[in-house]
Amino acid sequence: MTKNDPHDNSEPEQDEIRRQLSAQPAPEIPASVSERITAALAEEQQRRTVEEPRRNRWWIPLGAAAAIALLVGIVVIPGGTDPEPQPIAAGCQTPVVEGGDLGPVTQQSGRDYTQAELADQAKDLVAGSSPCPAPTGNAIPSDRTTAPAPSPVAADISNCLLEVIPDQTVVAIDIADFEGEELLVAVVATETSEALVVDCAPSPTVVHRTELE
Amino acid sequence: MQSTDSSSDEQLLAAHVDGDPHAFAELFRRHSDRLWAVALRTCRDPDDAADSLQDAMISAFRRASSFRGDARVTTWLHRIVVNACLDRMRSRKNRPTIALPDTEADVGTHDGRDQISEHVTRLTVMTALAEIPDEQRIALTLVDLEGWPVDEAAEILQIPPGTVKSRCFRGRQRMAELLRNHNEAGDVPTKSSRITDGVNDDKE
Repeated sequence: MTKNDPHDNSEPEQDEIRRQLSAQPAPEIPASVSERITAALAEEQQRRTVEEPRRNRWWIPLGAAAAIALLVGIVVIPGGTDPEPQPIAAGCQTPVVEGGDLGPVTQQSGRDYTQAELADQAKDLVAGSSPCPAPTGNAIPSDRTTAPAPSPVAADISNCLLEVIPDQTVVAIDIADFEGEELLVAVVATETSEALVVDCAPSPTVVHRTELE
Repeated sequence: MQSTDSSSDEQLLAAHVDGDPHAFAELFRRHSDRLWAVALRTCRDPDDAADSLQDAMISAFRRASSFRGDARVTTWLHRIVVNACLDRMRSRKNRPTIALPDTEADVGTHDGRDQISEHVTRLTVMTALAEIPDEQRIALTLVDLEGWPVDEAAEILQIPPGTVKSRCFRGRQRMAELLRNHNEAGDVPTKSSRITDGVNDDKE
């Protein structure tokens, strides 16, 4: 201990106080306080579980900006419920996510999709993306020349879509916005083509759908 | 990702940041007694200590990703607890009554004069500690009561180690005076002892 006062000769006194303080028994946290704080932390964890997926979307590794939170998937099944893949266009545009177990091209346009224009916007997406068709959400297109191990991002997208549209052909996916909300939008077709808005977090949910005429 | 008893504090905090839902609770469970002791001795009131500790844990939970790893996790947690207590103390300038630790009830369970005497001595020391200025008391709480090395106490308080030493030195001096006065007057502190916050005369 530094002596601040050069005239001080209280070292024994300092030692005695130090000894008395160190001899004090440490109080244990009361059970009620511990339980209360544990409960508060559990509540905080619950909140984090709900909010975190929205902030840390699984497509963030794609390099998406924070504002980008929409995934637009185009699923087109011409001719009804035929499960066979139906090529929409030749060739595939360079996907943002490649090599996953998701068939369609995934774009990251940052586009702001709207409810009113979703049908037209989805058609533009289909036309512009030259998507790689796949028979189902988890099928790898036969014309893929490379098939590296599935990336977590692609797997997450695939899993999300498989939950909401398990039997549909996904043609193209766009990571974008929808009505300013952090949502996932997919366009699917059964008898007719449809565009679906899907929210992948906290659990995959279709929040909007529209037919492509 | 699984938090276990064998994980280090740093691993637990990293697991929490990565989304492990149990890691932070384990961290709290592991250090709750020490954090409580610091909160109680800093706030000097069980209710304030509980509130401060809860505020601190929630704050640490949320700010975990800001932990840079340049101090130990326990140091970081203690810093947040002390700051939460100081914030609460600042927001309550008038503190007419100080609740002493709930140890008086234990007297009846002990037999023999020595144990009672020991209890009274303990109470007297803690009362004297409560009477010295906050900054000296908090430094003594960390260094003498909790056994933190001066350097780490300095990190917790975010002040130079020399300041921690001087606060401890003056605090012990002040306590020695108070204990002498108690002994001369034959005072036996009670739970209703009225103690006001000391004026900070710390010269750094």
